[in-house]
Amino acid sequence: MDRLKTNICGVEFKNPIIAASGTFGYGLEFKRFTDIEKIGGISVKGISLHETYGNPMPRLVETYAGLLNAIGLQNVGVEKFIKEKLPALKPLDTRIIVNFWGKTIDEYVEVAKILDSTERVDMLEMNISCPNIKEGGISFSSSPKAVEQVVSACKKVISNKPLIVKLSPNVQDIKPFAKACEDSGADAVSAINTLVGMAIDVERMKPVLANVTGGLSGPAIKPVALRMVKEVFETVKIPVIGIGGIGNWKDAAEFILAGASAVQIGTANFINANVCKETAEGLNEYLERKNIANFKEIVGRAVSC
Amino acid sequence: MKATVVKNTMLSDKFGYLELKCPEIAKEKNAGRFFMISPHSDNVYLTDTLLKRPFAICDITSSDTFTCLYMITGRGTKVLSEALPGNNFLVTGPVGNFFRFEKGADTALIAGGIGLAPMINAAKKLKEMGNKVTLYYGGRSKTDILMYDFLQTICDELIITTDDGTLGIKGNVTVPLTDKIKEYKKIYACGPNRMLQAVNTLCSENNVPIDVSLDEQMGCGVGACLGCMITVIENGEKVMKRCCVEGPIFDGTKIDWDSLIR
Repeated sequence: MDRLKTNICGVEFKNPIIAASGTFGYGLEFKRFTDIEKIGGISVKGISLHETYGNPMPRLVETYAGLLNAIGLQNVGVEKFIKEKLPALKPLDTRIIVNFWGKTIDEYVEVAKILDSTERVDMLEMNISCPNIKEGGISFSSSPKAVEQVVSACKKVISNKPLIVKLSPNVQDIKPFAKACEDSGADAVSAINTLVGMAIDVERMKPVLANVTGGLSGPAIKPVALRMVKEVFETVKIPVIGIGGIGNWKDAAEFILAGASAVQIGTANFINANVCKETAEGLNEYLERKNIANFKEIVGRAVSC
Repeated sequence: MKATVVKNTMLSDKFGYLELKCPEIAKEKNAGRFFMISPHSDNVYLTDTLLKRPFAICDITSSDTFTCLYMITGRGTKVLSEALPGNNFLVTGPVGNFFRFEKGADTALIAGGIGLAPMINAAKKLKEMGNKVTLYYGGRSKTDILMYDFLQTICDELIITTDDGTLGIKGNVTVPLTDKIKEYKKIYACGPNRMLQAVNTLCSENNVPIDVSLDEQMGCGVGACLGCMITVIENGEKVMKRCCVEGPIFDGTKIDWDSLIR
């Protein structure tokens, strides 16, 4: 499948399909159900400096063609992650991207520093945009200035691995945020995180989620995500990783044509554990049919002037 | 992984019984485990219902077929109720932990409403081990008591309760259980959380161990999404467990019931 081989910020990928953070656990939960080595990379559940317990239940609710979640970034913390989770990923032939977040700039910097010197971690993905915890990121994506501060602070301590910054769609205009990332040294951006939404239980006359609001994902957000990927692609020169409602090769192809150098698949993993593998296969057939030697040739084809 | 519909029978206006062909799930030897099923057939992904739904493995009917019991409560179960023989569904499983029965111990199975689902397989397993099978089964009304004749064939003792007294003993399952609880070495229960809490209280008062099988909404069913957390109390501390992996069966005495009743 040479048509799918790529290099993102100096890291070789066998294909541009990545399992999105928060939907693939620490990488091994799906081992029984799919061939993980057929996936280009895995972005593991967002890691913080300290173990985090997340939000009260209910944390999930299905909406029309979408999933609202308010997990609250539950994770084992960076130390336990490296000691207990990462070793099991070592023999796997796939790229490991570690998503991370902090409550303060110092926490972001501390986690980034640790991960930067951790073997087997191929790339870092900074989450400045989780909508579900009060301090967790949302304030950092409230203004391009705040993004600049946290990204440049982390860049100072990262010297070994490329840094991806995951953008929030919950802003009036995503372009200045993407620009701020590029200007502060981000090696790539991924877009988009979930859109803030809510659902109400009419019998109980209360919000369904204990957290009241949650992040919307799934096919419902795909058109919005695609538009934002296009906007980001037209704004920055660094690679854009497209995320948002991808569930098959056609969706992935749309994101590539809108400017994505790679894509992440999230919610669809819950529906079909083989979706990443099948998307890569479908994309390969599409490129073959179109007689395109490598998908890189068509990145942004539908939008670039 | 696919499962093909063999038979789909409506048992009442809201309960249905689905027989599926899927050897990987039908080969399961333990009772109490579950599987996830996509609420749309033939792998059509583009639909408004997205997530797979968890259902108990109800009965193993042959080396490659098994059944599940469902209650129509929303869009997903409505789709299941319309499934036709030959339709294919995406499934994941078997997943979750299972009932650990002890040979020869006096036990009782307690089911409330749709909580009957894992108890059919459980009753058969107990029988296979040579144990006496006692099933307490409660519902709101006579029409909610499913498969009555079939249950009699797999249980040595079947005690029915209905809230309105239209079949069996009037009241909930704790009414007949209160007098008999001391006779049992262990209780296994599945049903609405409030019923499970009441049975758990009765067990605690009489020092009878209890395992409960919980029904929680799930995202992935394989331990990745952290959307089905159950709060249990271990060594005086509240700890969160994934219902899909560490459950669905938990020691009832360790559950933080207040967090489940909402």
